[in-house]
Amino acid sequence: MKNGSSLARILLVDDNANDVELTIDAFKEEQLSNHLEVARSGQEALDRLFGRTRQPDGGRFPLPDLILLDIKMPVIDGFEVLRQVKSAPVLRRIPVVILTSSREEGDRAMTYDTGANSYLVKPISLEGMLEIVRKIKDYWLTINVRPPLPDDDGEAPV
Amino acid sequence: MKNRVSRPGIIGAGVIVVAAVLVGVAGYNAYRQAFGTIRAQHSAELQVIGKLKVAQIVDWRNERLSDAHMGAAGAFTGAVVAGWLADPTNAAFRTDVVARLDLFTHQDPGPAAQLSQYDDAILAAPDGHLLLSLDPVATELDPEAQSLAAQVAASQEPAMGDFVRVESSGHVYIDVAAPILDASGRPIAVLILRSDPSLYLYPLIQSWPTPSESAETLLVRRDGASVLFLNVLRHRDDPALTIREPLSSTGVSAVAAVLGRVGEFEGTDYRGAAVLADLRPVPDSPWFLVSKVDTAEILAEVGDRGRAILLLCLLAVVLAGGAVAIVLSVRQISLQQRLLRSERDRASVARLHERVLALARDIFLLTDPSNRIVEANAAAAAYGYSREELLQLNAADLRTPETRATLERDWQAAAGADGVLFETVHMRKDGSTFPVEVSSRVIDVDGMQHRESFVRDITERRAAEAQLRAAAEESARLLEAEVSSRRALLSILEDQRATEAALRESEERFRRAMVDSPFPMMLHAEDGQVLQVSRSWCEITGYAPEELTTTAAWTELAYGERRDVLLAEIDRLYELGHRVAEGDYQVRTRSGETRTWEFSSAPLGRLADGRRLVISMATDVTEHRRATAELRESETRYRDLVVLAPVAIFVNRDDRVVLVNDACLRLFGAQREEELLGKSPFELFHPDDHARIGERIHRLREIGDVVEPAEEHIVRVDGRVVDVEVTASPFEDLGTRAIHVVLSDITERKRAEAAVRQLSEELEQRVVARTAELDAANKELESFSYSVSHDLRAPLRAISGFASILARRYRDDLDEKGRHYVDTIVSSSDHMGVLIEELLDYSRIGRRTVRAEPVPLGPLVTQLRVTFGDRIAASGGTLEAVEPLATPVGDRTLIERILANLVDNALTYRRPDVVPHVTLSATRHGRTLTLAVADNGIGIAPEYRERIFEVFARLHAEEEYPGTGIGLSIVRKAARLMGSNVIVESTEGAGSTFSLDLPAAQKRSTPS
Repeated sequence: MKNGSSLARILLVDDNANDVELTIDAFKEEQLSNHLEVARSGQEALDRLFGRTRQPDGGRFPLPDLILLDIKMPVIDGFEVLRQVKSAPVLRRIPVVILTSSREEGDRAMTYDTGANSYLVKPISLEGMLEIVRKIKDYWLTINVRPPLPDDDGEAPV
Repeated sequence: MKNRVSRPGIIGAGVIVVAAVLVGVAGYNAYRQAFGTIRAQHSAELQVIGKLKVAQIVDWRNERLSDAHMGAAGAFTGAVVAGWLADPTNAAFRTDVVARLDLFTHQDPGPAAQLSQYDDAILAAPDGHLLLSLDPVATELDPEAQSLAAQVAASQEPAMGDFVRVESSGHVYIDVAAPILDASGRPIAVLILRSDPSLYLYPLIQSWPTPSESAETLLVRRDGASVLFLNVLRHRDDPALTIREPLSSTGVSAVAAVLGRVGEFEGTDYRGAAVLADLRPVPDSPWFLVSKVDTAEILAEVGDRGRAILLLCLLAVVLAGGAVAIVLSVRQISLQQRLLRSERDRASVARLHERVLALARDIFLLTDPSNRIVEANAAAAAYGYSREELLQLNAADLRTPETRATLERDWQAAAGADGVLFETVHMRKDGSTFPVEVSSRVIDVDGMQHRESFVRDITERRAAEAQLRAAAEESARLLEAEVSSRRALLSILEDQRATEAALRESEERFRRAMVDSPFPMMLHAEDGQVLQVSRSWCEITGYAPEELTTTAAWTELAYGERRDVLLAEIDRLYELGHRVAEGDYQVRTRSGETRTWEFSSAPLGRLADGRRLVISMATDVTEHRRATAELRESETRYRDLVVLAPVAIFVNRDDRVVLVNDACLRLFGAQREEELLGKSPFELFHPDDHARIGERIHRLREIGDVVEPAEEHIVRVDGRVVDVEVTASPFEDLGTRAIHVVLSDITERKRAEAAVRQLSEELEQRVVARTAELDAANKELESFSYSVSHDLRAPLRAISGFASILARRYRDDLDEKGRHYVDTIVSSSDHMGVLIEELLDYSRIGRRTVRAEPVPLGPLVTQLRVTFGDRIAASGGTLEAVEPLATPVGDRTLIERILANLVDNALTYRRPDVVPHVTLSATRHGRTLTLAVADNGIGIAPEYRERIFEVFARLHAEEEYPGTGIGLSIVRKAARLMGSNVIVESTEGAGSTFSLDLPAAQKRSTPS
């Protein structure tokens, strides 16, 4: 069983370049940047997860141990990604943490209904962001026992 | 007087005797007590001395034993002795041994002095033979010494012998011995130390510490069947160890001691004297110590005390006697004085007596026991004798021969009682007699029974008595005659009265009948006099009987101006031969009221003086007439009512219309009543309604039930159908149940109802449409603010985030100003973020429908404590909820919001040096409650009290107190949405209270 932050993979799904940059910076400050992979749209995220896009060497992108998902994205938004991930076998095991600027009740209801594991609101300040990253590291990467996922070489489910 | 035994004397003697007895008893007790005390003292003394001496003796014994032991046990001594024994001839050894022994008898002072109080030191063989003695004369040891030596050698323990008396010399000694052992512990010799008891022991025993004439201690031991006295006795000169006392004399103290008695003992001693003794054994020895003192000594001591007591008693008795004597003599003196006084009084009384007697009119005689007259007063001259003659006479001589005989008898009575009073006849000197009354008494004169008598001439009295008697007889006779004549008169009168009474009774009955009659009645005569008028006449009219004494008076009062007419009518009554009903008359009462009286009169014969009488009776029919008139009136009214009523009315009797009013005719479009009368009700109504109508008619008529109004349809004469509302009720009419039916045309009403219905439908549709519009608008607003917040926040995040990176990573590349700018960018972005949040909040408030339900405040308070817990704890302040918290009716979210914002403000706008205390309360007054949050913070100046509720309005800079200025506007908006308003009371520098009124939740039996 894989555990320990040294081996964890995190997929960040967000279309806002600034937000992504800030998030990467925060992860870097917490020495977690090596674990972070970014998908800049809902489509990109789904393609990666379902194995439709491949690595340069042809291998499948390894499945992340945690997905940080923004909601507000064009075309395929966070809800859609969440819905698809949580309906697919194996993929549905991956914990999805919503990371959004919305605190609306409707959004919260819908995401939780669809099976989101956690819901975080993006803070305005960098301090806040650092704090969130630390908490993510402590909880999702350290304390939380990750779900069993197939190895890098394994075939992804359809 | 000399025979009499003086009572005081007896008492006095008695007192002395009693005193003597008491004193004697007290004295005796004192004596006994003294004896006891002294005896006890002595006993204690004996005991103390006995114990002391025993102890000393024991000490002495122990010392001796120790001496012997030490003397014998020394190794050196043993060696020397052993050496000598081995070679008895060796002079040097012998000298050594002697020197050793000598130590014990040596008289030199110095360290050895202790040892040298022995008469002799002897060395003996273990079997008792003498080996060596300092006494040159001794050749062999006494048997006692021998046996002691043997015993010691055998037991190898030091031991003390007993007192031994040498017969030849009379000398007494006492030995103590100890074995001398050789190196192996075998006894080779015995050291005997002989001491003279008279040096120490006897003096010890024989001395007595206190001055006493007879006390002594003595030491004894059992010797066979007797007790041997071991020391020299005080009261006998015999030397020690010579006196014995047989054991049979158990009363002797020494014997008792030997026999085992210990402690206090009363008995005799060796010389037979009574003693008090203390008996004590000497431990570890066969000896017993007796300490004794003669009882006589004790008594002698007591005797002194006793004598003193006796003297005291005698003195006391003497004193008592003296006191009594004094008392008696004092009494005597006073008695004599009294006697003297009484003598003087008596003398004066006697003188008075004499004077009285001299002047008295009554004759006074004093006769001696033989009835001889010894004294008479001046009045005695009435007898005709001279004084001298009188004094020669006997009392009997004064009596007539006839009465003389009874003298003694008369006087006999005087002897016992307080005197006697009797009448008799006395005789004068000249033989004439006169009746007398004698009062006589026996008195004691110089010890003899004299008689004193007062004699009164009662001649005149007698005469008077006779006259009186005669007069009385005469008057009695006259009285007799009068009484009999009066009796005759009385009987006549009684007959008369009886008849009169009978007559009156019947008159009375008649009168009462009239007076008490329930009807007004009047009995009047043709001259106008009213003989009788009934009570009810007066009660109803209010006139008193005195006012109605004539018919004229009555008519004046009752009819006023019409009087003459009425009087004429009354006059006509007297002509009547029969009863007549007169009809109604209006009578005026005293109070001015007019009453209707129906009169009837009848003739009632003539009076004695020929006047004709008439009796008139009236019935007060005022109410009756009035009722009848009213009834008629109401009938008319009702008829008119019905006929003219605006609603159609008809009466259904026996399924026939028997009455219709004008409105009914109009309703049915008929011209005349006849068009409707007689028809069946079913003909009037539409066939569709017939079934229901029939049922209603049945209920009304058969059961008499009231039916509810119903909507029916009538058919007019022209065939048109009209909507009506029918109200029907049953009533009794001519013996059957008829039905009273009211119809009202409801065509208009129905039309109005339809219109209203349609209107409300339209309204509902409009409302639905409107709500849909509002919802749409709301949704639009929501998505607007949603996007606003989201889209505004993203760039804000970028600004803040990158600026922070700058501040952190490139800090060193910036100068101070640069750092300051960057920090400002970051903090401003944060602030904007908060503003956006709050604006969103503000807009969100009220988009939801405002609910109205009871909101228990307990859970809200708990939540507040959680939310603000850290801030409260950090400031050291408190958030307090005042119990009981009433429950408001409102929107829960809004109330939550209001409270949270108010508490936030209360904690934020605090005085820096004062610990914040926030108090939350919900106080109920009837149907509303006041929700309030009070703090002890900085307060608000009056001029700003409205401004603070405006959006973005702030009174302080961001550095002083953090905030956006939206909190209170949210609070106000939320309050307004619930139909309330927030007000603030504040004292600048002391604190503020924000409050709003909400409806209070009413207690309901079932939870909402």
